[in-house]
Amino acid sequence: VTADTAVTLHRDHAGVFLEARLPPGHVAFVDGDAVDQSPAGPVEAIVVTNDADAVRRAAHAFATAARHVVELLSVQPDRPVEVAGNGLLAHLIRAPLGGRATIGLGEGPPVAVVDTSGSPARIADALRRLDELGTLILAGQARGRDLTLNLYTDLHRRSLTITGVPAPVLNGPPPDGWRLPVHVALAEPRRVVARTNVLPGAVWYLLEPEGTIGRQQPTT
Amino acid sequence: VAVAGKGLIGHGIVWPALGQARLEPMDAPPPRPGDIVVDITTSVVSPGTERAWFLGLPNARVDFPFRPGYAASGVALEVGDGVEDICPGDAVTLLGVPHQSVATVPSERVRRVPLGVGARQAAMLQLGAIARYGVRRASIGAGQPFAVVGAGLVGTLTRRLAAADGAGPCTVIARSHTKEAVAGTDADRFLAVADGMDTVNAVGAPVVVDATGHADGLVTAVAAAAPGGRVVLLGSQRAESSILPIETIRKKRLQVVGTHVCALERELALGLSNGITGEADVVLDALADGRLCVDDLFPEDDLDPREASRFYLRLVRDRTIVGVSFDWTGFPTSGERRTTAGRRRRSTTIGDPFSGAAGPVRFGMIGCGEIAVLSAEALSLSPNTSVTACHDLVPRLASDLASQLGAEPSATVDALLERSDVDAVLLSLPHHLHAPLAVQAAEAGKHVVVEKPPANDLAAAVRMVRSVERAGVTMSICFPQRYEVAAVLARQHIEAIGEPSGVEVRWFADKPPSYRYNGFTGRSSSDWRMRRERAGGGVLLMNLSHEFDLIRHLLGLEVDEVMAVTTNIEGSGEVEDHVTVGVRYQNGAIGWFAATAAARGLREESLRVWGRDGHLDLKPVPVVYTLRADCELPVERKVRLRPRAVWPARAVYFSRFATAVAEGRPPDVTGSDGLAVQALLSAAYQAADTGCMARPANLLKEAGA
Repeated sequence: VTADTAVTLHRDHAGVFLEARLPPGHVAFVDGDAVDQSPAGPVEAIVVTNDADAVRRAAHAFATAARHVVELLSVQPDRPVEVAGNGLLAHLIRAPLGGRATIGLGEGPPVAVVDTSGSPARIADALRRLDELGTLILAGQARGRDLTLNLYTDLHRRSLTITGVPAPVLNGPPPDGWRLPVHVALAEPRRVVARTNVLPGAVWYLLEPEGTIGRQQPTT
Repeated sequence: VAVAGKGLIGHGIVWPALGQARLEPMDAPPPRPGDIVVDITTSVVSPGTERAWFLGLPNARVDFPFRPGYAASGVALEVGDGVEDICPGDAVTLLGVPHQSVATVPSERVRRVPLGVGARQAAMLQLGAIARYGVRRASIGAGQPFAVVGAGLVGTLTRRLAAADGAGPCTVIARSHTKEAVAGTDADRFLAVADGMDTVNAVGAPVVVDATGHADGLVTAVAAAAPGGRVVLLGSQRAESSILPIETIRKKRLQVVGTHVCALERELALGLSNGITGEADVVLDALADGRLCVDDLFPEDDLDPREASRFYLRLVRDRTIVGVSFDWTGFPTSGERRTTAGRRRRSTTIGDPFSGAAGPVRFGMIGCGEIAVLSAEALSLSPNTSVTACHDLVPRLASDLASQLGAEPSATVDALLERSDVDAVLLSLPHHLHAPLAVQAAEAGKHVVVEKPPANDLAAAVRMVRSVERAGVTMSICFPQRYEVAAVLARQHIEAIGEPSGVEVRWFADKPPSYRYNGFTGRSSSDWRMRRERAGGGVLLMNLSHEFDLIRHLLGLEVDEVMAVTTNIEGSGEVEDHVTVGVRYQNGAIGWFAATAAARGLREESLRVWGRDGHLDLKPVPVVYTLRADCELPVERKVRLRPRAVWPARAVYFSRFATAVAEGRPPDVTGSDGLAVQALLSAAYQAADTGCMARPANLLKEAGA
């Protein structure tokens, strides 16, 4: 189940709150990039039965989405590509690319940029930095935000390509023995519980049933 | 006519600044190794791009002076060393060459035109290459449905090139139905965004090409695309900011592909394609084997380059233009500078105004005061009119004129009308007497000429004209200014201004206070000119009525709405001595008229009309300026119309009236013409009285006309 409305992000003076409305016995997983940069509103989430394999199944959904992105990148010239996010999806995309993937500014304009934030500002910036004939892959949730830009200079004249890829979805149980890449697997989903403070910057989040699960900005 | 080693002189279109265009001599240098000199016969306009350049729209700023255009064809004149595949005499098409009659270009921008491909078809090559690049980037497969947003030239070429590859069916999406006729010739379906986005959202095409260049074109294309589809951004956006619908693109898993011809150079460098010439060759092949047809995209005749300025002004306002081209065959290249290319001698010759005069018609003059003196002289000068009788309430005036004209004074109107040697009467009377005496004369079987204005008010004028019509005699209102030599010349050249846009008339005079009692001559003392009921009005009716008629005569337009302000500065009498009138004509043109009878020390008249293609000053000095090359006038130069003859306009008026009577046809100036002027005068007075816009047509209807 891909739930577009199961999890809602709220922001107030105290910080960020994720409200989950889940069926009984389910948990939700949210990519870290969907929380850190997003405005208030519904957040794309993977909603799964809360059992011992929940984390693995959710991770497999993210991995499948990442593999699709990597396939798109495989047709690009063998030059550095930029995958700037800090969420699980970004990690999973970077993993098979190895040294070809950069997180930020590399040497020369990138031939491709993968955006996992959905942030219009980041997307606009990426478009301006792309090399002529380059490709931007939209893998983050824009959440109702459209991008206003000079289409001629920022997209048309340099013949750029923008490709939208769908949100991660559950697509059946992962094959036996499937595991996340080791270094990604180290990033356990940060379990957030209602009315408890959490630290920001997790790779991904596990939301437990019902109630409001809050993540407050750290106090000094 | 190449001059080897010296280069050639031709002409080219130059934009000296934003929104300005003109034709100028230009040089084509001798060919260097690898160059080809081409005598250009046709250059095709890229409407969207050139409109954007001309207006300085966002993303289309160019440096001035600028030479517009980039698609042309012609014949190779001379080739430089190292050019092997093109020979002098070959028909060639050029990539990236401006609108000009001759060009020296590198051979890689020249392609030989295949047999069977015409000059205008070939000149489309650069535009075709742009469209072809869009088709390639769109990866439209054979049998695959697709949609094109935009029905302009590039959009149409894109559609046809895709269809030439077997793709289809095609849906065309445009902002409105304006270009449906063009698109409808080969589009399978036509949708207008103006009809609502629901139908656009339902298109669901696997490939959509946005060829609009509009800020909202991409949003429309994205809406029309099927999930997983491909959207090609082909048109260059002429907006600083546009919306990129990133959420929809992602949700629909779309691929949005920017496609600009500039990137072809990079593709060539990377070995991804053969660059623009590769696309061009595909287009030439399609033209040669008939898979691509473009002739129908050029519904109008080729443009005369001398009309460049006129054309670009039209291009700005006319969004229906799809395909147009300049014809350079009238501008042969030469080794010598030709500064008078295509210029024709203007003609201001006009014929004898009295030729063909028929008659004679014998006049009886009723009213022998002020203006009658001028009319009497005119009737004497006219070869086919004479005066046989004169009447005035002041017998001295009638006797005076009669003695000068060899006519007989009549003691009464009835006596004059009973005379068998009077065919027509001329009424030169206080205005309130025009209608009753015209009716009386007509009922006596006499033709009638009424000095302007027709009457003192519209109702009387309508009664008069209808009664005269019923009597079956010929009637005319005396508006002799139509026959001034300058007015005749102006009418000859009025087409030079194109569709009229505006009128400005000023009539300033310093009438002495005595005028109100004695006129200018003092022949007859009366205060009727000061009485609104008897005169009908002041300077507006007395003087501007001539200009109202003259403008109608020149432009053939009726006034739709009138606003006016009048005042009586001198304070004597009941009629205005200052007036300003603003009008809107039926075609949307506007006019303003200002007149005063009490501007101390001034005697000034000016009359100017202008249109989309030029302007014409009739007064004080006849001058015409045009952007058109088909008017036997130099283009883009003020030309003074110098008459080669002078004649008495009032005499011409009477002569032509007499000829009309003799030939049994309506006169030049009919009673209906008089009613139109009278209605305009009445509307102006009503507007001045009420402060509200008045419509002459409504007043005519109310008066029973």
